[in-house]
Amino acid sequence: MKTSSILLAALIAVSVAGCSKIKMTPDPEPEQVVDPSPIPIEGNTIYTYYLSNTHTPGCYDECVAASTLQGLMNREGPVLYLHGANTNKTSKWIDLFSKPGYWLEGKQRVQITSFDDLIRLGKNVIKGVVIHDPEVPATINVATTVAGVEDCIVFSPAQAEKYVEKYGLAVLHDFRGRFDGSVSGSAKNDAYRWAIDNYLDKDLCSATQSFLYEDGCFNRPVGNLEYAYSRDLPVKVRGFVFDLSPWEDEAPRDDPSQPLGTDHETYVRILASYLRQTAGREMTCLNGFFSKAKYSEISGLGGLHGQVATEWESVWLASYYNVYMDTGPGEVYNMSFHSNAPFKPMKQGRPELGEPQDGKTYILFQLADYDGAGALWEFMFNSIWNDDNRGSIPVVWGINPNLIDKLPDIMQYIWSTKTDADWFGADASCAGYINPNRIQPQYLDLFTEHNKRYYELCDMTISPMVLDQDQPSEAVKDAFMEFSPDGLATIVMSYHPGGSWPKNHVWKDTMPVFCLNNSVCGDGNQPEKLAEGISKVIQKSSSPTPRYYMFRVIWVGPGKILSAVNSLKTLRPDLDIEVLDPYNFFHYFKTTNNQ
Amino acid sequence: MIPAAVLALLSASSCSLFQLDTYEGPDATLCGSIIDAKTGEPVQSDIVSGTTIKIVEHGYADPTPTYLVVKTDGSYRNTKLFPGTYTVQPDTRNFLPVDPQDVYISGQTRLDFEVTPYIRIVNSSITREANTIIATFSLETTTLDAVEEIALFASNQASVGSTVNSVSKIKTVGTGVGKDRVFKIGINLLDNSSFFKKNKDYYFRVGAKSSFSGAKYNYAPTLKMNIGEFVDEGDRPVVYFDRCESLDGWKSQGTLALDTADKTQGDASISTTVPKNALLFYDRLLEEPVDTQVSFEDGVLAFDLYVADLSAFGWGLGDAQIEITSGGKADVQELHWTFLADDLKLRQGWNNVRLRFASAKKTGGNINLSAVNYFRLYHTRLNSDATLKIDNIRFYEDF
Repeated sequence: MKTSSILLAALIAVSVAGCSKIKMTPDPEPEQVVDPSPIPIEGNTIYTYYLSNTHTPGCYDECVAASTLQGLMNREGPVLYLHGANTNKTSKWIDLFSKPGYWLEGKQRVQITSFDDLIRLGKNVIKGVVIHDPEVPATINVATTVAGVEDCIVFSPAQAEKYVEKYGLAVLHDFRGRFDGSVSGSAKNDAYRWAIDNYLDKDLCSATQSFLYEDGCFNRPVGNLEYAYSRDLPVKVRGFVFDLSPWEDEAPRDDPSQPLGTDHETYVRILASYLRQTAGREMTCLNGFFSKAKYSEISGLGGLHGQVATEWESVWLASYYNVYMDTGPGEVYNMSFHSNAPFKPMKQGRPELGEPQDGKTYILFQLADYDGAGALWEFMFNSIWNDDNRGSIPVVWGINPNLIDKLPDIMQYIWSTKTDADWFGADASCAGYINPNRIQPQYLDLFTEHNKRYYELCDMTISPMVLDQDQPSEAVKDAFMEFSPDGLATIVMSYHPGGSWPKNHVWKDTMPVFCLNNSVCGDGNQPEKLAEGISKVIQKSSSPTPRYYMFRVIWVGPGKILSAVNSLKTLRPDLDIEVLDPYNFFHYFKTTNNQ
Repeated sequence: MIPAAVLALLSASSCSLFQLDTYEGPDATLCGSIIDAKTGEPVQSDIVSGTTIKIVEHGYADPTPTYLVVKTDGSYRNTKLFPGTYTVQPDTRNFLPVDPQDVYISGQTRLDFEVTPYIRIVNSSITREANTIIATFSLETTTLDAVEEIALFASNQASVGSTVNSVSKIKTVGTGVGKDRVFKIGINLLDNSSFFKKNKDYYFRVGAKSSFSGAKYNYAPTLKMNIGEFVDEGDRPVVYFDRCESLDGWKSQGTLALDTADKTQGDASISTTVPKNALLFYDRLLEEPVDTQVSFEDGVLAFDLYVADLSAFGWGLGDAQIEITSGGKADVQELHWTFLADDLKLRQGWNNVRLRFASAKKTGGNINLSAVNYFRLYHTRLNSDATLKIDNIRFYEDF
């Protein structure tokens, strides 16, 4: 009996084990039937696609292909919206703008669930395929440029093998083995110079939108999608895309054997081409940022130039050619989509102006670093804009006004949700990050008109953070007075010799010119430390004349500023502190100065 | 025998609940190696918690992945797979991510992965100097991520690594690393004599770990070595700051004396008895600076210190330091360590004090290790008069 029980148990166990290996379908799996026909695009519909993020080169390639396709599909209106696999921000923005009263209200959403279907969805707008060469990462940028001009999408060799024949796509360019350094001594530069000769110098690319995008050299192998998902905008606007070092005296880390200065030489050719094309009639936006991994110092790996120095060199170099920077697009999804939002000129209003009182210490806080699209796209969703204390203390937010070109819906959302204590000024430096002193004198009128347009659309008259390597020249101050009459504050860093800070003054009895204190910019998350830092700046004084201080603080909300001011008041009972809005701050300063 | 009724019931149950398994048995093999795409060499791994390969068999609604373990030498093999199509992808790794691929596995299926390891350990050698096993090597990093740490592992098993070892020496790096930088790391046999036995064979392997998220250790090939005999510790190359054979140049707030009866080296040690209200035990300025011939990274200040009565010291209270400088006085180009019993693990009697430069704090700029000329030891909070003896002040490198 005992034996039988054991056998029974064993038989049941065998049966269960066998069951677990029963297959639902036999192997090998049958060939999938491919439907290569285009998916018709319905009106009033937003198609969404979720990018995979497996941190592999394959997911990077999928992202590049999808974003370049997105750029084509969104040229005439908002059609394709990409969701990041590891971010909820894309969902939040589209959900917000689909609410009643916003521009996507009433549109239906259809989710595309496979990459095959994504190709079918875009098949009617794709004229062909450009295949990049993984051995020369710069060809991803060149391919993106070509894709914009010739209405293509960008594929890796593996994608081309998988999809070209399957969907009957034409290969218009295959860059594999095309660039070997035989021209310039650098395969990377050969690729860009070919693109300059055949696209940029032939005026086939946008003259007003250019793109400084990491080419995937370090991002693609590890599937880091930054600068991959943002390729929709250059394709949409047919922008030239490149990734080069601004330095003449050091070979870049991604191409260490190139003849010294080759990157720089190509960089200057590109900038000069823009100046030739715009001919003093327009300015050019350089979207993106230099690759820190390639062109600046890294701990342990050396490098002649630090990150800040490389940023400043990039701006100094570009400014001479009427090229200004938007440093953040590499971190933004769906710019080709957002940029289709309708835009109406925005208003921020003005506070009632008062008069300064003797014995007071007046402080203005600039909450800053929103000069790039990435910062604006991201910062609503953290504690900064949603800070419960927003409205409890006056601040000037530094936001680049020409972001209305790329993110008009987000800009309008920010303006429409301001409180009476939120004010807007430009950030680094005006309508675009530029060194105004580097602009050639004959182009200052263009500079003025460019800024006047964006400032008026954003209802701005203050420039709270002009970055330059010297104090603003008289001509530059005259220019700013045209569009920023209520105030100019500056930070001067002299990487090129000869610069100096200005004394605070009022230019031609009209425009206050002020020094922006940047010494506590990174202390905002520690209010007591911020208070201590401010306290060190404000010297003791027995004079009754009002005193004025302006501080830049990055990446914090007004609540931290409020805490810091309370700490400062405890720390410095000798001071009669009042925090002002920017209009009263500069008005008070002007009044005191004129007295 | 099983009663017929039971068999009938069992058959019925099988029919309704389970299909009869008529598929082939798990007789397919998947094997291969992880190969460095640049060098063609296998990418070595930890056999425990090292590289794994995730395989997912097609055809299931909710498949459970299987993970194949990659062996120390970079190879892997599973001989008990059902024939079929699988999605195969390296999972935990010490190399850059690899895209998944669909593979039909039947019979003997070989699948090698050509990969880029996070770090290549190049020009590696493991040698013995005195009682120290020293590994010398450089690193070739393939990403810009910092090298988190380097290590030398020792074991009596050939699968030695970060998870299989009896003795290890790990150094934090924490920065990017250029290919020309030479690293040295060592394991002292005498310090680990509970494990190392003379004339026995042991396995040693150099490892380096990238700070790339989730990265596992990369390795140089394992070396099997017979460690032979231990040698006299006095054979360790040292540079003396002061052998403590004379009172010349020494100062103290106590009474200094040469003690020829109680010493650890040479003919004498230097004793001092400091009254309760004093603080300075030893102050020594050299007329000619000493070239320590050691690096900051691996340098050690060592001396022998006799403590007559530990209770004389108000441990944990006040200020107490051991200092060396190249500035000719305190606080100028200085390295210092806290002189507290808990920190130094002092006991009553003679102590061998060993202080790594890398764990010192700096004051007054960087010390010039080729011109050290000042030593000081003080304690500001004595409970009573205190007697110390010092001997054999020296520098050496401990890799």
